[in-house]
Amino acid sequence: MAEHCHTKPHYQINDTKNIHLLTERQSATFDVEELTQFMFSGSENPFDINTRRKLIRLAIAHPIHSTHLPFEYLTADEHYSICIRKSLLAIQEANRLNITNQKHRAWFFDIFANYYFAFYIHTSMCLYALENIASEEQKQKFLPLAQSFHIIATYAQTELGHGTDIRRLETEAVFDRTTDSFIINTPKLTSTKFWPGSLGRTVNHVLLMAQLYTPDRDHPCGLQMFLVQIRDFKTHEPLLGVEVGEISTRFAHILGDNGYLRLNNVRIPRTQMLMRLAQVDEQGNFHRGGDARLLYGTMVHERIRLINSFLVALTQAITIAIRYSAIRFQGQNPNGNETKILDYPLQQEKLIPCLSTTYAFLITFIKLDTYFNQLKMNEKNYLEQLPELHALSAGFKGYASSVTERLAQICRISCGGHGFLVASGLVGIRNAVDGGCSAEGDNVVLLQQTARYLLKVMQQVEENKTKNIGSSVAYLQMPLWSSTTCMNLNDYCRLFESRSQLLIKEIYTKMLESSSSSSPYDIFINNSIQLVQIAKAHMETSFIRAFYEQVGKAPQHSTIALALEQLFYVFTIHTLCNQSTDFIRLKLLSANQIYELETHVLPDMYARLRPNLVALVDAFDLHDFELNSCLGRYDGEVYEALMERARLNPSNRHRVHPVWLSVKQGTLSKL
Amino acid sequence: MVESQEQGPYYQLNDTKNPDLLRERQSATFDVEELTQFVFGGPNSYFNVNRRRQLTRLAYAHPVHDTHLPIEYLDADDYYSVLIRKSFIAIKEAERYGITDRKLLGWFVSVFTNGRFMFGLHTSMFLHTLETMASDEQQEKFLPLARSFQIIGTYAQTELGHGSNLQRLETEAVFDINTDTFVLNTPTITATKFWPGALGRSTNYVLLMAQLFTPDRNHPAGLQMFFVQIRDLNTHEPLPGVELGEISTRFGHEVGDNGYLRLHNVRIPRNHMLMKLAYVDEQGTFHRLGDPRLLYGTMLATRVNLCAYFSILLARAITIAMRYSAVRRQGQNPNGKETLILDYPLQQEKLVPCIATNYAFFYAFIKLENLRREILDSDTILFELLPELHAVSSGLKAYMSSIGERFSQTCRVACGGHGYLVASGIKGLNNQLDAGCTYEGDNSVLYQQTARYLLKVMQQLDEISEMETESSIKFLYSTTTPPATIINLDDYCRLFECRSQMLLKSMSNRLSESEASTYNKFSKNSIELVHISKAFIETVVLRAFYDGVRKASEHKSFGPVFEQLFHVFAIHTLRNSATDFIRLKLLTADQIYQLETFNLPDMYARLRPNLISLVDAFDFHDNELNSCLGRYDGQVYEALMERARLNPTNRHKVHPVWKSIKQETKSKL
Repeated sequence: MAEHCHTKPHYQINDTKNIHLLTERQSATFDVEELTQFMFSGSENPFDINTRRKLIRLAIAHPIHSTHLPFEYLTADEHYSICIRKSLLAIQEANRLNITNQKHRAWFFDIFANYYFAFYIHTSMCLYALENIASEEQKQKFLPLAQSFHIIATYAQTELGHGTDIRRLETEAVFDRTTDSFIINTPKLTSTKFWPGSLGRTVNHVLLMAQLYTPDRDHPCGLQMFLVQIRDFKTHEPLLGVEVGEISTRFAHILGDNGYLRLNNVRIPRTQMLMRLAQVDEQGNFHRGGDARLLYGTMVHERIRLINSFLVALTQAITIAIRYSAIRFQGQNPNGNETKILDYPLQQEKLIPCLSTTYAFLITFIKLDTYFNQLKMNEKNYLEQLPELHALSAGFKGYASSVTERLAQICRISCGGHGFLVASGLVGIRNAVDGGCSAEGDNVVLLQQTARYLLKVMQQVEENKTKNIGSSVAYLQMPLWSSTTCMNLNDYCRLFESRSQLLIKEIYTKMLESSSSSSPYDIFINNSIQLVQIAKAHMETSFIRAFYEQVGKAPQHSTIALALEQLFYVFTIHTLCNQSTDFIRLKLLSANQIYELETHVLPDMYARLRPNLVALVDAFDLHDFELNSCLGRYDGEVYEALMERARLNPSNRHRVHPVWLSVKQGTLSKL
Repeated sequence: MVESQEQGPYYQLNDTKNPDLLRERQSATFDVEELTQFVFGGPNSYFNVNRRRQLTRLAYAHPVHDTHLPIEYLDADDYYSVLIRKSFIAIKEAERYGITDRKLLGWFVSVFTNGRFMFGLHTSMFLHTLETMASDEQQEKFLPLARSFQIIGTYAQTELGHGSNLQRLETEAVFDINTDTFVLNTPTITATKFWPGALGRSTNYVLLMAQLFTPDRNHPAGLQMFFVQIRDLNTHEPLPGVELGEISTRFGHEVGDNGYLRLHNVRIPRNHMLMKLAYVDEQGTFHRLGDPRLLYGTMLATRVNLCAYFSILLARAITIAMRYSAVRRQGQNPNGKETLILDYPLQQEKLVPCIATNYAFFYAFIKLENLRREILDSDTILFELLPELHAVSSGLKAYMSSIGERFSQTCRVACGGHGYLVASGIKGLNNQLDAGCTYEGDNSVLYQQTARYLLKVMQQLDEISEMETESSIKFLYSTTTPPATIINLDDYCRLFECRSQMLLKSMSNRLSESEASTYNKFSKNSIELVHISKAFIETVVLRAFYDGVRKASEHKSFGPVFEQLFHVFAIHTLRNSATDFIRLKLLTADQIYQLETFNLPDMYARLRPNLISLVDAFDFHDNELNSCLGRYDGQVYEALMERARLNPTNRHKVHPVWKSIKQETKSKL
């Protein structure tokens, strides 16, 4: 069925209704579809645009989408109900349409449920964990039930009192030999599982992280994962000993059904501890088996999924802001005409660095994801490269989520007041990426993990043990960049790599020197602020290097190559200016050079990119249904959309709001 | 009744229930109340903390506050009803207590309604505009009705298609000589009034900004303000020709009842144009009267108040983040103990610059408020000083809202996941600061206004001989020599002033050398002009803080603490613009590196024992913070769990949608 849908772009230039937006589109120097294909096509590309287009067309064709008001007008209960309905329907439809590929299914679900697919933790993390951490026997038993959504699960790790530091989790599973079962408890208030998505009202099982005690209470064996049923299959009622509910309101309705869970002497059979990597036998003896590094694999997998979601959010935000800036007019030039806000240098200074960062992140992500998928083919290679992948994905998540949050905020501001409406789409985007700064590991914690890896590599470099050095850190053993001016793109790569190398070496040496007087723990803590800095510096080298490679892949001298090159300059110079002290102090550039780059080269690039700005966001080819934005719609009919959405507000169904009826009747004080 | 209320702090040390938080409070090197009084005390202080405490206690004592769930659990209609109800009760209660002073009344009704008084625009802008722009005759007629809330109004300026640039507003008022009336229309879709607060469902009048055409359609006479009834006073129904409603959902529940308004041939009598500064006679002839600069007064007063408001919002965010960081533990040290997150340098790096900046904000505001009083509260407005007030207040509004927005976001991140709950209180504050970047003038636009003023000053440097000692631009008139080394606090001020002066000089020269038109010059250099404005505002804030530190130095206990805060603010601000200082040869990159990597963490360590006391000194009532994470007693986890259990969705053991799904499955089987 999916094959029948066509793979053309969602919109054509003559779908544009706003005249100014049309002018923008006509001024582009390249063919948008060509850029789209260059960036996003191919089945190994994580965005696989042609398949995605088909899936979008299928998903949004369903009549259910026209049965409800925009989400901001639903009450919390209504919103939840419609999400559950759509999520269940999405599964049915995917089956009917015979969409079987995991990734394609996930896209289809996401779009069908307006990015609120209620079982996404089940389909991503839980199925993945069952496949990788359950024993063969367990897989046979549980996987079919989970794949058919008979079991719907979430991943219950975070507790009220503990998040990032999972060693401190307090939920416990004590083995009871007489009944061959585990007794599970959340013994304290702070042990309450708190935050897991879909936990509040949706799932009937959890994958529970708990401290294992076996053969008895006196023998702690560390954290293990348990499959625990919490609701009845038939009635959906919570089981005995289970207290479960939704936590208090998060910002907007963005995160689905985050819940809390308290367990009071809940018993599960011994065979429901996931046993691929560790086992408990009938006597209660604990064994380890299998490669624990596989656990990291799950984390890397989840992190990559998360980075992907930020990047989609960022493409949406910048699409909305640039399109709106091309139809909004403000101020007056001496000819008495109003000025398009996209023509103001100050607006360009907000949006073009944002656009260039979007491209930089996308390109780096495509590279990382492709690399990850290739590695997975070969388990030995994969396990060897895991530390590098872990460092890269942790650093990418830490770096990109904070930056994306800030850029989404800049997009909001650049749309003025209307950007503050939920109907702009920007509010939800910014919220979602803000949540991403804390989800799956706090950013500064993750960046410190990247730094740890970098210090290890630096040690290898210093000790000349660099046989298997990863490609992302290969620059650490290269000679420093010795030129004094940046002539070509590669100079910028070398410039950033030299800076990163110098910074890492500096802190490495400093820490080594203090190693006689302080403990490793204290040294690390005392230098933590700078360690985060080196992790960021390293990530910047990755972005710039990947961007550079991508520019090289574009057909030479083509207009696409030119535009990408201009974006490369903007990203690089913008990033450099934010960290200028490093470059000056390390004598890589002078303050005057940086001033020159910032005040001349950068605005010059803005001017060159100006005719292509709208085309560069059009190339992301987002469907209006995905954007869900009055400001960012393809046709540019912004004001009509805003007015229509305002009139839809259910509060306007009353000519006089009920509370005023009681005011007028003088009954208010009795209320 | 107000006077008899207790004036002391809301909480005492032994109200603390969490032992970690108690230890923090015991480690303070100064008396919190002494600091509170020093910064916020005294009947002449804008903050007048003792009086504020009395009003707050009265407001929270009312039983209505116990009658509803936390507001995040109310649906939009219930929420609106609660606010209207509380707003009316607040007015009544204020009357009963005899609270008449406008500022005190404003506080009382705001506290009473949890910061969401529905008639805030009415009591501030609407009344104020009537008082300054209506003729005496009009005032006599309208003011009593407005003061008694029979007329409830808002200020309808922004349109769907136009915000910052007023000249382009499209709503029109055409004089009709035959009926002696104006005919009002919003002729295009973009002319729709869009965004005014309280417009959607609440007000029965608006002060309408519209283009006046008189004596007929062919004679535009510019923007004027009109007093327009939109709802019936008895039934509250919209009048004929009026289409209005609430606009679509804004972020969270924070903003009240923003509405849209379309007018179709609505007629109002000629004497409903506000006529103090201009009038239209019976023949339709347009006359100007009075000084239009009077109009600035309202705008400026609003902007100055916003600076206090932003400082308070940020103070709430940092109070929450700091207290939570003193309760929350994470990670493990080599002794096997968990670490208080406030002990991590990375957490301090997030929060200490924020608290330092917050104190700097308060002092910058106090200085601005003094300038405002001097200019606007004197018997005759000091017009010659208006431009300075305009420039400084515009720049500070932009600076405080954008820096405050970023810092409150840092506070959110510093609280991890729990910071993301509405019940943390922080997201709401971040939201309000975010909105503050846009309303009352987009920040980029405001910075450019400041820059324009500064460039004018630069061109007149030789013409002025005598300068007010307190003036914020005084340093531009002298040759400031850069300090060779940074030894004392004044060196930082001079450093920033040198930088600001050098940036301004080179820009001023560049502009006067350029042949381009003024418009093009400004537009082309606008990115740097904004930068220059920020650099100037930083000198203003730093100098104001410096004055505060000097005054504090008489107090042995917290004098040194203020100095430490000053260092943090100065270094933190400096490093964010490091290229300037290096390029202008005011500092070397190594010096900045030294300040950032040694002096700054050293200051964090010194401030460490006082961090909680520094936020306690803001003395927020728990109800004002409305935060599970920031409560005074530190019972964070209990509060989070209690709030979760209150979630109305948890009243179902099984959510209705699942009940029906299970039913459907059964019936299919």
